Amino acid sequence: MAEWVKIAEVGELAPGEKKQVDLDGLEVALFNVDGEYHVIEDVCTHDGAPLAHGKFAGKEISCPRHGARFDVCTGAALCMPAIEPVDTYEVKIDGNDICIEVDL
Amino acid sequence: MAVVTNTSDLSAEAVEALSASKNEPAWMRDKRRAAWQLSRELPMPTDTDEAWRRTDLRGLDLGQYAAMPSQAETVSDREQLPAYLAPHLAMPETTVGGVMVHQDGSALWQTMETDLAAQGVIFCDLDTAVQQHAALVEEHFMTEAVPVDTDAFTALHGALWQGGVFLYVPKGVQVQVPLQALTAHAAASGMVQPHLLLVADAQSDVTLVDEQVSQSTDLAGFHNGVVELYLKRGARATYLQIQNWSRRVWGISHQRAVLDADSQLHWAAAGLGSRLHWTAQDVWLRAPGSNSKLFGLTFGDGRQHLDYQTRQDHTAPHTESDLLFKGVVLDRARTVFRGVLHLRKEAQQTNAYQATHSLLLSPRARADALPILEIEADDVRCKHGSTTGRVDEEQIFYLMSRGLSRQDAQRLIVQGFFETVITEFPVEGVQEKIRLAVEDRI
Repeated sequence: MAEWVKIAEVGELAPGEKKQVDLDGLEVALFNVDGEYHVIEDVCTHDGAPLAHGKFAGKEISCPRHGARFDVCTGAALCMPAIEPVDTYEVKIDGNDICIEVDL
Repeated sequence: MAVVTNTSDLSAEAVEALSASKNEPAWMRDKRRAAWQLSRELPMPTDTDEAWRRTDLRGLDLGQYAAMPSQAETVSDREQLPAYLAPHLAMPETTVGGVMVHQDGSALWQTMETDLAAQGVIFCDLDTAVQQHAALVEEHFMTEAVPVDTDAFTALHGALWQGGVFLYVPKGVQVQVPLQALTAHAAASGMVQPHLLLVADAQSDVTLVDEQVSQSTDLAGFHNGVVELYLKRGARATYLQIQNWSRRVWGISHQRAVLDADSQLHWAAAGLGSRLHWTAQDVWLRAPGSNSKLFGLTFGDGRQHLDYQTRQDHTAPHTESDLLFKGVVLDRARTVFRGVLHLRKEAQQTNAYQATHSLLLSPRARADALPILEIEADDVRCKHGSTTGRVDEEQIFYLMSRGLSRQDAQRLIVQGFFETVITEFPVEGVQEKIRLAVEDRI
């Protein structure tokens, strides 16, 4: 069953920064895009690489392995070799906590 | 047997305590010490290592597992075993010649037909073998098949292995009925590090069934196992393995068979359980006339991740190996098959084959297949093939037109897909177990 899980605290990430979080084997990546938080699954849909290790600029993250790019706000794949979007997670600010809804 | 408890950390002291609790001879204690030292020096595999590239270990925190779960006492008969083991022990339509049951590294119960013992067959827990059959164990334990320095996990295993099966079949002895090993995980967040060592001496013949289970489907744990199979000249061995750990177990397993001249290995493995499991399954055909047949079946659902890395290593002429792996993936699960067929320069007049097939039952399921040939010899026959696809909607439509529901139609197709591999587990009781396990999950 889906539940809200804390993954970080407000203020932990400055705009333009990212963070990788492990949730019992589910890897997700948190991004601060101009003060707004977005979370995607931290697995490239092309070859399974950890996206959080890639370069993050604007609202795009590049896969460190083959250069696929994804929109961290929508999960959309922006260029080859990835063609499938990554999963995104709804984010909720609960007091000082940044939470996402996941089914673990 | 002394009981070690409350040593939850991974430390040199834990290694010493474990060895002392078993009154191990100096050679095994020294092996553990050296392995511990290696485990501190070798780096953990990362996604830059080709064999680990598709398995994400970032979520693996070894510190959260108890390195030495509380040990259970042995029982004197089958009726006293924990109730959850009964369905796993049962093998319909099958007579077994011996049974060995472990739980969290403790040997709970073992038995073997007296006539096998009279012929010199040794089927006992590895602790006993270390004490009573030291020469055999010392020669084969983590030396040639799975060297202790393979990687950080084998080093950790060499330092803290607990619970294991030792099977020795003397020269010329034919064991007509299968032997059964059952390894169970019952401690929450426990580390299970079983070791299986099989030595089939010249011209012998044996079948071993090896099943791995957890007490419940949501029991967290970490499995770090090693399997070593030695087939001497002319030996024949059939090794059947079912990996069915809980869905919260993370597992690593290094398995390798070493084949001498004219030996024949039939190895079939089913990967059904675990949250994440990485398995190396290798055969080394090092003398002329050796022959191996490898079969694999994987079934993943939910968020399971099952990674099989196989290697058919031919280093001698006139050898033959064949491999067939089939996988079915559901939901968000992922299977990985990376198989290397390596024919060295000396391996002339060799035949080697490899085929892998995957069936995707959900749009988000994923199967990666990487068959690889490395051929250095110039007079060989070598083939490989790989397919990955979804269930054919026409087949579903046909079966539904005969009155089956979509789910039943899918189940029938999966059963048919797997059947060619299931029949390669040549023990009726094992086939039934696998069929039921797969059927339950579709």
